[in-house]
Amino acid sequence: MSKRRGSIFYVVMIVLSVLAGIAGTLIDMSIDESHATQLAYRSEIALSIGESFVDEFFHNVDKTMNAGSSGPIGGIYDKLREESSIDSVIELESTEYISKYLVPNSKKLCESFQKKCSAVVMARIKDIQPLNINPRERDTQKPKLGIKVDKVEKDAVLEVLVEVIYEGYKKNLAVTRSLKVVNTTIAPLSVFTLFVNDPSFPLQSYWSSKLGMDFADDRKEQKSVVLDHSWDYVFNKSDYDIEELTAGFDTTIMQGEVPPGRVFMNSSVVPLTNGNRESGMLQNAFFSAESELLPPFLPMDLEQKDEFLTKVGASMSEEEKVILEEVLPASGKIFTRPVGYGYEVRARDDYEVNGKKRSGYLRYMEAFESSWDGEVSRKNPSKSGLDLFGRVEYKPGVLNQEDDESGWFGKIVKAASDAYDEMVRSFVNDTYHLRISPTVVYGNVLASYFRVMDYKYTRMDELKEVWKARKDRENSNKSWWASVWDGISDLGGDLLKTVKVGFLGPGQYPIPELPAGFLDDIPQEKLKESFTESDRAKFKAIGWSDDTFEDFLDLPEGMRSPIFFKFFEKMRKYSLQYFGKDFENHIPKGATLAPYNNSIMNYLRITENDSPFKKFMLDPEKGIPKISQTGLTVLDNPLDQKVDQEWGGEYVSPLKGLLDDNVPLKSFNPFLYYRKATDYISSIYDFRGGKKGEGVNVMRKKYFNEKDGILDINGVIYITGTARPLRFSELLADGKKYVRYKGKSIIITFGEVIFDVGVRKYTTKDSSKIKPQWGKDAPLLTVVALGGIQFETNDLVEATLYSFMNPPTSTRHFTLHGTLGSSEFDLARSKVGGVVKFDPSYSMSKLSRSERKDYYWVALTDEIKKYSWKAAW
Amino acid sequence: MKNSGFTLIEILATITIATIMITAIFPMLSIGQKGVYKSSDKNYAVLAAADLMEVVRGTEFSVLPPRENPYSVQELRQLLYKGDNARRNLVFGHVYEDKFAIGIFIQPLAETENTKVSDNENKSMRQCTIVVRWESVMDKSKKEEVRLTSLYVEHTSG
Repeated sequence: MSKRRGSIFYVVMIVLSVLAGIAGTLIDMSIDESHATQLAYRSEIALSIGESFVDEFFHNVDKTMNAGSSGPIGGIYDKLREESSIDSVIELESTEYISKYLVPNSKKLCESFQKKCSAVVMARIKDIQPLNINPRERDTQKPKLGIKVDKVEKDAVLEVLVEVIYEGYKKNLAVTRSLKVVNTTIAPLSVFTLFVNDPSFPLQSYWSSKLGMDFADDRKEQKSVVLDHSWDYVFNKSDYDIEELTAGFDTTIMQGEVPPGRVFMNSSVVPLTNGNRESGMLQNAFFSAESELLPPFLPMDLEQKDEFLTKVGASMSEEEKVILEEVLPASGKIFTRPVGYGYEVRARDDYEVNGKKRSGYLRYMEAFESSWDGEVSRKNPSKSGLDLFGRVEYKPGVLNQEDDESGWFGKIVKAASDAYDEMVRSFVNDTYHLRISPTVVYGNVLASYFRVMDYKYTRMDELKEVWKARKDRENSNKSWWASVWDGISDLGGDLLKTVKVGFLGPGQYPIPELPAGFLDDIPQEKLKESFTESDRAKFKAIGWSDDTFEDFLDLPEGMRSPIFFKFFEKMRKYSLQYFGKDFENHIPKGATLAPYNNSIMNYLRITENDSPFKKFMLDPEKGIPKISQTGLTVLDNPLDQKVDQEWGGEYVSPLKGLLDDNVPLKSFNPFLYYRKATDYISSIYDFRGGKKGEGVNVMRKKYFNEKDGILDINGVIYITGTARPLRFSELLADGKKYVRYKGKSIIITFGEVIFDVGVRKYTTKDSSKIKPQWGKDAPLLTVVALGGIQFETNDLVEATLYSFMNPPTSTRHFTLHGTLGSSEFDLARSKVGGVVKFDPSYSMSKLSRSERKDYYWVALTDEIKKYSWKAAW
Repeated sequence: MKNSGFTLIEILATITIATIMITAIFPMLSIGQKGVYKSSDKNYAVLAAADLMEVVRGTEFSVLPPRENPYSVQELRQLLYKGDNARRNLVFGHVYEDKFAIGIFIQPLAETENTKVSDNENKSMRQCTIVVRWESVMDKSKKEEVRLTSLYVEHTSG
């Protein structure tokens, strides 16, 4: 048993050894735990510091990239804006530069850990590419045909790598963000006062000039929408006479300081101004520029015209009288439409335009006034047709003293009857502003007005004989007129031409056109003698076939007379055809079109015969007439080309669609579609915040500086949510009556935009002294509303607006300083009227290349998150 | 007389040696245990600080304006749920404050002259420091502490 002695010792020792082992393990574990904890702690600290660097880096990059060209930062981003930066890599490799300008606070934070912390930041801008617009082929990445890419606008990637070492623990963060350079102006919009565009179905460009009268309730009056083209900026004064205007055309338009057009209409023939019977005005046809586009349903045959002219103390031209007396009884009626040349507003007495006598303004005024029914009409200037495009307006003081008894027209006539020789001068007095309006219209259709007419047989029995004779001829199953159309398929040839002006109605026919000089040898006394079989050789000599000539002989005698053709020859003198592809569907039967600009030039013609602008616009030799695919003659005017160039290729003239086989961009608005967003707002309200059911206005949250009470917004912002409209009243500062904004931005919202308060540039203190501004600090705001623009305020709104799906509407008389654009424009939606005063600030055309950089905004965007990735290891 | 059992000397010697060894081992056990607890506490503290840092980073500037005194977690929760600032979609079930004393310091960051282009408060940066303190498991008279500091900008929803 002695062997068992002392065994307890061993047992205890074993137990103690186990305990010792456990203790050692615990200590070892605690050391490991402590070490791991320490690493986790250091990792978190290093990550926090690293995130500080990243946040501050992007924060300062975001703030400084548009801050100007001074200093190394400005230099970097100026370089990014250069066209030559495409495909290059801009290294931000200077540690000092990054530390000093982009991460100064994070650097200090790191240094505050004494020597425990160190950090390195590297960054570069890479993958710099022009905005890839609608590539046709993925491989080549070429833009769609017809699109000229703005090489200043770019996509790029900003990459930053941060390495933080904290107490020996190294943490790396790599972050990339999408970088964009975007234009903050919309070039085509920026040069017009009114822009009605979008030829694509169902948004046909449309101007409904239901102005002046509500036929459902004629007690209601309607105000005009006045387009003020801001010539006062050009001339530096608000009152000017005709000589100054003429000089202004030559010195400013020709030098490109002012765009040639202020009104753009892309398609459809519509009443250019308020010359519209439907509107309840101009029944008495004040033959001014305003009455040049009378509606299709106001045909006036020569007899009616004679009656009308007699009533106003004028008479028809000799040619018209002959046609009336010699041709009509034998064949039918020629319908004409009142056509004016603008000169009427300047001529007090009778005058002559293109060989035709016209009455001066005074007689028209008197006729208008004396035959106008009702007090309301007399007092309503909107019905006069004079103020729609801002020709005249009351000066404020006079407005307040308006005499209800005399009415607006009474004042006009009184003023006109005073000592002034010209109508224009009558406006330049103490009563009226002349808010200029040589409204030079740029566009394919509204650059046209109806001059001539259609021809309608009234003797149907005779017409039946014509048809019968035609049918009896062998080898023909076509009508006479069909063969004529066949014969003019090549307008460039020497064969028979007609003025091909659209689809004629039953009994209406186009008029054959004879070659120049063909009628010259016919003596005066024989002008009324119709061509007969004996003249066959003459017609064969100019290329007519026997069949064509026989068809011609089927015509009534009156239409075969030389004087008939002479008359049309004169009428066609200025009838350069200038219209859109589908114009046939929109114009009255048989109408011939001529450039509206001709009338403007006629307006200026007397005073300045050698006006270079006039020559530029009138001389067809300076344009490039072309035969289009549709057989129409199109004047590719140099002004088209000039504007196309100034728009930087963003917009291609609709006329190009007629001339180019590939017809690029004819059916949509590239300037609207090809916009890159720098920020997206999926919904105007974020319902996670704010009062329950109301949410927080994200626009305000993001872009409103509560401290200064200013909307501070730059870049291109898309609002995709349409549930609620964007109301500018929600961007008001406390106690303010209107929104102030700074920065240059385009807001494109899929929903509605409601201007229920004034919106002014930060720099506009006094709304009566608004003026254009250019440069870095000039605020610009463009709003494109797919859901439509609505005015619910008569306070000043300084912005360029485009109402896409619906015409602009207003419940208050609005005042817009900028551009009003729309796919269609319906004055019935703006019955209270308004004023659009053009703001040239949005146009970069007068700026140098370096100055234009300020109009491009560089922005960091998130786009798809997985590509804006952040990695830490 | 049987020789079974232990002699007194054996017992005394064993007790003596065991006492000596236990005296040495037990503190080791305690130290090891406390070390594990200490690390555990610190881990929780670091996690708490990191979590709160994320909360602050995701909170609008207007909810937590800068001030000299630190915000407590309870105060933070109240502010997040208060009135217009209510984060109805945010479940903020932080439990660390039962164990830790947590201070959330929010400070404005002075813009450098080179980078200052806007006075818009929404576009400025701030510094957040999360300080987490707790009683040391080793020495209850002492306080342990972790501290996370980061600069941040306001992230608004889009």
